[in-house]
Amino acid sequence: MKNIIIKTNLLLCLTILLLSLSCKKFVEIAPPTNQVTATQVFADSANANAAIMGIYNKLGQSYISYGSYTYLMGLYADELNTVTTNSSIKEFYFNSVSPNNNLMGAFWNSPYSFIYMANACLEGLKGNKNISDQAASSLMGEAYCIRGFMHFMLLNFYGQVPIITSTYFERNRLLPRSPTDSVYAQIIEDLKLAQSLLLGTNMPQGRASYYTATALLARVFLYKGNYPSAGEESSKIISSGKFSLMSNLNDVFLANSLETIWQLAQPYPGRETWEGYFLVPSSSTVVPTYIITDTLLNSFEQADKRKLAWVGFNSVNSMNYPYPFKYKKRLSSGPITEKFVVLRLAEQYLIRAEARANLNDIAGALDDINIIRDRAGLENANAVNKEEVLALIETERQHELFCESGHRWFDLKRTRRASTVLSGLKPDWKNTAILFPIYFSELASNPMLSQNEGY
Amino acid sequence: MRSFYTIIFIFVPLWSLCQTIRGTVNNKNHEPLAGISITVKGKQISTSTNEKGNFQIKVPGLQSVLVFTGTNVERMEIALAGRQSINIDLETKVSALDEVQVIAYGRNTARYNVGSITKVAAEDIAKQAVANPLAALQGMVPGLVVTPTNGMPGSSFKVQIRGQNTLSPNLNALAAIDNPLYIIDGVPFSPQNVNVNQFPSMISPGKGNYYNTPYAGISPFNSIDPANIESIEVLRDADATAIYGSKAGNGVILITTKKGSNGRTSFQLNMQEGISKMGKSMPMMNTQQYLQMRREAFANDGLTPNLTPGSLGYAPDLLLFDTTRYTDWRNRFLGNTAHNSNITGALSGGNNSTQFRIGAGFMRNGYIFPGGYAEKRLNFSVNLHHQSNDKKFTIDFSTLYAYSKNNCSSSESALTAFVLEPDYPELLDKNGNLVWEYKGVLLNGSSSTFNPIAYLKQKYHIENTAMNNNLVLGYQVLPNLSFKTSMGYSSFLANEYSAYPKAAQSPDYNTNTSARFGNNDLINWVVEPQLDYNLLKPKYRLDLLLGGTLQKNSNKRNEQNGYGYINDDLLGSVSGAARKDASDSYSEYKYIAFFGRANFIWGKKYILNINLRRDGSSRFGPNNRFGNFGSVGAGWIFTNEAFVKNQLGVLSYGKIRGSYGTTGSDAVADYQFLSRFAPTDYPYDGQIGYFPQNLYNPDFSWASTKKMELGLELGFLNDNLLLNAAWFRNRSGNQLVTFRLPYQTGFNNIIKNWDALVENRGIELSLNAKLLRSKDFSWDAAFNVSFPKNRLLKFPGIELSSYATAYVVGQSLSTQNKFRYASVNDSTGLFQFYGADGKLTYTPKNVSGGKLNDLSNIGNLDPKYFGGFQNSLRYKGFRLDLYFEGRKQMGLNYLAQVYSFVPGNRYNVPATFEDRWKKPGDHAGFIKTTTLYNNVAQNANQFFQQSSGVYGDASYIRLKTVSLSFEIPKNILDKFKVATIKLYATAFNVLTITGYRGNDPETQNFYGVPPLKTYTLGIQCEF
Repeated sequence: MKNIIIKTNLLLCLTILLLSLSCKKFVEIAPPTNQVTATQVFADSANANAAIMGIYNKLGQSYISYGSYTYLMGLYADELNTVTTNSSIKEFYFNSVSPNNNLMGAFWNSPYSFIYMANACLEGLKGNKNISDQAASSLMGEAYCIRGFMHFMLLNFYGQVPIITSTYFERNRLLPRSPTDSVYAQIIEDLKLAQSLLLGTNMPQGRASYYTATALLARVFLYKGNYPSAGEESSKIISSGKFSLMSNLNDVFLANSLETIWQLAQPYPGRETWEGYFLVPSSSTVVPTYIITDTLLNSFEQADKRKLAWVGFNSVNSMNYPYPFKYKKRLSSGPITEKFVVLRLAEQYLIRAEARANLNDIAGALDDINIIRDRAGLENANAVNKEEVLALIETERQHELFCESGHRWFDLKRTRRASTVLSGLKPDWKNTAILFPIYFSELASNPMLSQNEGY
Repeated sequence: MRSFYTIIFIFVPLWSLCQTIRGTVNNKNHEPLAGISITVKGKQISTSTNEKGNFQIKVPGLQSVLVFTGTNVERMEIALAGRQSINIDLETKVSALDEVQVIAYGRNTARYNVGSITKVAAEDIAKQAVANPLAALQGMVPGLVVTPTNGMPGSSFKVQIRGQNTLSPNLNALAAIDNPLYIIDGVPFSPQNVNVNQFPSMISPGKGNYYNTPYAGISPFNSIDPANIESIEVLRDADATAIYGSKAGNGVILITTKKGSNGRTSFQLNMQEGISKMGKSMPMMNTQQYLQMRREAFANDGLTPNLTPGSLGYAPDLLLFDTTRYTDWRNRFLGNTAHNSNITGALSGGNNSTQFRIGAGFMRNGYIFPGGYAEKRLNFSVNLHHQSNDKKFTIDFSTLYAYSKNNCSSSESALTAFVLEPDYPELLDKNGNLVWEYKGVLLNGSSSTFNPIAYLKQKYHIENTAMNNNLVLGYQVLPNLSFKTSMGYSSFLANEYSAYPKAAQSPDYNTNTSARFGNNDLINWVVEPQLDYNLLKPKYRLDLLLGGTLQKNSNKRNEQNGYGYINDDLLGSVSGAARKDASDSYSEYKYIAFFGRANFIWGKKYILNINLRRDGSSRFGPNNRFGNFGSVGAGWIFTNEAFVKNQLGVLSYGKIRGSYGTTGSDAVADYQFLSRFAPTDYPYDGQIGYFPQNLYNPDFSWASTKKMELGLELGFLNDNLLLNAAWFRNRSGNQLVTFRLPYQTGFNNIIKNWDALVENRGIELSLNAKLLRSKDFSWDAAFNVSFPKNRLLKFPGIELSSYATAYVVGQSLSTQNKFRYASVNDSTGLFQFYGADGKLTYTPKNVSGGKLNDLSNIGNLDPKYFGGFQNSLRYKGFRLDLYFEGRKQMGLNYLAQVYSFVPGNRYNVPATFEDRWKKPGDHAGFIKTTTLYNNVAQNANQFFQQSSGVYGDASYIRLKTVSLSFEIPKNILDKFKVATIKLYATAFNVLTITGYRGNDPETQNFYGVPPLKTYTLGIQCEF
C-alpha cells in the first residue's frame, strides 16, 4: 500500500514536471467540434459557396425581415387589423411604434447582420487565390446584391442610415447615419456591381441572379424617382423572356412559379412560408389573428379574381373574417410547395407603368397596367392624363401587391400619400410616423447615432 | 460558544509530604497537548507540558490551586484537594479566534490569519432548514450579497462578493454577474453558480418585461445537501484569494464537507416536515372594481363595448361573462400550500487510523401551484480518512453524490395567469376537463382570453446528477516536509425535458404537439500536487507551500426535438415524433498553474504571508495565455507585545492586518479568440451553409483586479467580544469585457480589453459576542454590516464608446439614467416628466446622438449597506435562534411590471389602481385607462416604464429564521440508549419590515413567486 502511494505520487510528480515543461502545450485546445474557422471557410470554392448559402438560409429563417414585416407593414398601412393582445404588434396598427418596441430591434439588427455576412464573404473572396475567378465573381455578385438589398430595406424604414461596407468593427461602431442620397448611391453601386458580376450566370430561383439585381434596381430607381432608369431596368426583366405571368392566380406563389424572379425557401422544417404561418388561421373556426380591413376589402372591384383567389374567409359567430390568402399553407405536410416570393414579374410591369406614366407615356403605362388587370379578370382601364394613370397605378398596386412585403406601406410613403390616406383611418396618425424609430439600445450603443423626428 | 470540560480524576490515596505534582494534559481526543503552561495560583511557580503532554510542578501544599493556560485552551483552575497526580482532558477550542478555518490549500486560525475570511459553521447552516446552501449564507457574511431569484424550489441565487468588477456587455443582454469561485473539498464545482437549465420554465421565465427575473434558473447548488457541510468559508481579500490567481478576482467560497471523528460509532438522524406559503401580496381588483375600470377605459377611448370578435370594442368580460362572479385568481394559482419533507442520516466513527462518515438524505419540496409539482433530491456522501501506523501516509477521500428531479410547468405564462378577468368563467368542468367555450365564445385566446389552466399542463422537468469527488494522497517525507497530491473530479449532468401536449392546447387549433429533450453535461477534473514544509521554532514558525494545478473543464450540450406526436402518452420519447431534429455543442477549457505560499510568524506577534501564482488559460490567443499574480499580507498582534500586554484592561486580543495583491480574470466564453463560422441548422435548397459567429479579435488577455485591505481585529473580556473591522479597496483594470457594440457592426459585442478602471471599496464590520454565560442560560449574538461603494474610476474614450450614455465616470456601474417622473396631470390624466430644462413634458426625449437629453441620473441599484444580526438564546435544554437580515437599497417597484400591460385592457390590475385619473380635475396617482395602444399607452409603456416612477426604496429588514429547539434531558434518554434527541421548530422568512411597493423587496417581481414563508417541524436524534 505504502509503495503504491509513493509510486503514484512520484508518477504524478513526474507528469507534472513534464507537463510544466510543455505547459504551453497543455493550454492549447482543439477548435470547437461544431464550428469552423474563417480560414477554413474561404479555403476553397465549395466552402465559400456554403458561406453564401448561409446568408440565404438565415434570410429564409428570419421571419422578422420577411413574414412579420408583411403583416406589420399591413397593420401600419390600411391593409390589416389584428386581434392579438401583443402590444408590440398592436403599436403598429396605431402607428405609434416606440423605440423600445422589441420588434424594432430586429428591424434594425437583422439587415445589419446580413450586411456583415455579405461583407465577410466579400473580404474572404476578394483576391483569394484558392478560388477560381469565375466562382469568386459570381459569389461576390450575390453578396453585393444582398448588401444592396439590405441597405435598401433600412433606407425604407429609417431614412438616413449608416452605410457599412466592411467587417472592421472599430470603424463601423462609430459610423453616423449617411444622407439618403449617399445610401441610394451605395445601393445602386452594389446592385450594378452585382449585375455585372452575375451577367451570364445561370442561378436557381432561390439565389440572387442577374435578374434579381436588375429587378431590385428597377424598384430602387422607382423609389428614388429616377424614372428613365426604372423603366430601363424593368424592361430588361420583362423582355428577357425568362419570366411570365401565371394565368391561374393560385399558382403565383407556388415554388418555382414562372412569375418568380427571386424566391426564398424556408429552411425550418414543418413550415412552408412565414407568411402562411402567420397569416393563415390555424383552423376555420377561429378569428384570424390578422384580418383584412374593410378599406382594403371594399376597394376591390366586384369582378376582381384576386379578391377570390388571394383572400380567405373564416366564419365565427356568423361573422365573416377575411384574411390574406396568397400563401395557402400554414404548415407543411409533405414536400414543400410554396416559397416566399421576394420579386415577381407583376411588380416589374407596375414599375414600368409608373415610370412610363411619369415620363408622360400614358399609352405605354396603360398597356402595362392592363396586362395585370387582364390576368385579374378585369376590363382594360382608361385614363387621359398622368394624374389619372398614377391614381390607377396606386390602386392596381394596392390590389396586386396587397399584404406582400409591405408594398402598400412603402407605396404610400414614397408617393407622400400616407398622411392623406391614413390620417382619416388611424386616430393617432402623426406625420412623423413616416419613418420608424431607431431601436433605443442602438442609440445608446453608438453615440454618433441620432433618433428620427417624433420619437 | 461555551465549551465544557471532561475531567477525569485518578485519586491516589497516598498522604505524602512530597510536594511534586505530576500529570498529563490531553485534548478531548486523548492526544497530548504540548506547551500548556501550569502555574500555582498566587505564586510565582510555573512550568509547561512537554511534547507528550506531561508535566511536573512543585507546589507549596496539596491544597494549592493549579491554573492551566495555553493558546489553544481556555484558562482552567483545578484545586488539588490533596491529589498528587492530575490527568486532564481539555477541549481545545476555546476562543473563537482559535477555531480551525479552511483557507486556500490549507487551514489556519483566525488569530494568525492576515486575510479576510469569514467562516459559516455547520450549525448556523442547519438551523435555517434550507434546501440550498447558498440560502444559508444570506446575511451571515460581511461583503457577501446573496439574493434569491424567486421562491420556487430549486431556483437559483445571485451571489456576489464585494460588488461588480466588470462592465456590463449589453443593454439588452444580461449583465454578467461577477460570480465568486466555488470549491468543494478542494475541487472546483463543475457548474459553479451558473444556472444548469437550457430550457425555459416557470422557474426561469427570462428577462421579459414583466417577469424581471433575468437571472432565474435552476441552481446547481440545490444538489448539495446542506446537512453534509461542515463549514463554508468566504474568502475576500488578496491575501486569502491570490493563490487562486486568475480565478479569484471575484472572491472565493470554499465548501468543506463533514468528516468522521474517532471514537464511538454514532448514527445521526434528522427528520423534518414543513409547509410553505406565499406571504401577503398586494390585492388585485375585485369584479366590481375591474368592470368599472373597463367601462371607464372604453368611455375614455370613445368606444362602445360590443360582442363582435375582432372589433375594437369587443368586451366579453363586460357583456357575456357572469358579472356577478368573482374569483381571486391569485389565490387559485398561487395560494396553495406547499409541503416539504426532508430526512437525512449519517453514520460516523473511527479509530486512530481510520475515520469515516457516510451520509444519506432524501428531500421533497412542493410548489404552491396546483399540479403536483415538486423538487425531489436523493443524496449520498462518503468521507474516509486513513493514516498508516507510523502516521506518515494519509489518504483522504470524499465524495458527494446527488440525484434530483424538479418538475413544473414549462410555461412562464403560468406566473401571470392570475391577471385573468375576475369574472372569467370556471376553468374546469365537472369532470376536471379544461373549458374552451363559454356561451358560444371560444376561450382559446384568439379573441377572448386564453384558459390559463392550460399553462399548467405544459410539462417540464430537469433531472440532475451531481458528483464531487476528491482523493488526497499524502506522505510525510521528512518530519517537516510533506508531499500530497489532490485529485478531483466533479461532474454535473443535467437532463431536461419539456413538452407541449395536446392537453395544453385548445382543440380549436390544429394541435401541434412537441417535446424537447436536452442534456447539459459539465465535467471537470483537477490534479494538484503540493509540497508542504514547516519549521516550528520557539521564536518563529515558517510554512512553505509549493504546488501546481492542472485543470480541464468540458461542457457538452445536446438537444433533440420531436414534433407531431399523435398521442400525448408518447411525448416522453423522441421516437414517436413524426419529425425530429437535433443539435449539440461542445466546449473545452484547460488551465495550468504554479503556485507558492510562504507564511512566517515571529514571536506570535508578527505575521507575513506571501502568495504567488502563474496561470495559463486556453481562453486566450497563443501569445496571451500566461499571467502572473500574487499578494503580500502582514499582521501584527500588538497585544502580544510586552509593552502593551500589561496595560490591556479589558482588551484580550488585538491585531492590525493588511494585504495587497493582484488577482485576475479570464471570465469569457471559450474559443473567442478564433474567427468562427457555424453550419446552419437546416439545409437551404438542399445545402448546408455557414454563418459567422463572432467578430474577430485575437488579442484580448487577462483582466486584473488589484486588491488592498486594512483590518483591525480586537478581542475583549477574554475574547468573549470580538470585533473585526476591515477597509478594502479593489480596483479592476484592463477590463476584459464582452464589449457592447451597436448592431450595425454585425454583432452586438466583441471580447476586448478596455482600459477602464472599476473600484469597489467599503468598510465591513463584524461583532461576535458571548453576552451571557451560566450553567442554565446563555446568550450569544453576532452582528455584521457592510458599507460598499462601487465606482467607475476612469474610462478613457467613454464618450466615443457604447457606454457613453450608460455609465458615468465617478458613479456606480449600476447607475440608472432615467426620466424624472413628476406626476399625473390633473386635466389630461397623463404621466408627466421633468425635462432636462426642468419643464414638464408628456414625451421626454431619450438618448440620441450620444446625449442623455431628458434622462438623468436617479441613483444606483447597489446596496448602500447590508448586514445580518444573529441571536442565540439557551435556557437549559431550550434554545431559541433569531436571524435577521437587512439591506438598504433602491429597486424596481411593482409598477414596472404592471405597466408592461396597459391598465384598461382585459387584464386585472392591483387594487391600488383605484387611485387612477377618471375625470379632469382628479388628483390621481395613475393615468387614465385605455383599451388601445395609443398615446396613453405609449405614455405609460415608453416613458413611465423608463422613469424614476418605477423605482423606489427597496430596503428591508427581514426576520429570516426563527428556530426553537428542545433537547430532551440526558437522564431520560439514557433509559432508551439514545445519545441525544432534539425537537425543533423553524420558521423561515417570517416577518419583513419594509416600505417597498410590491410583492417582495428582494426579488422585486410582481408577477412571480417571492421567497415563501416556510414553517418546519423536526426531530434530530443521535444514537
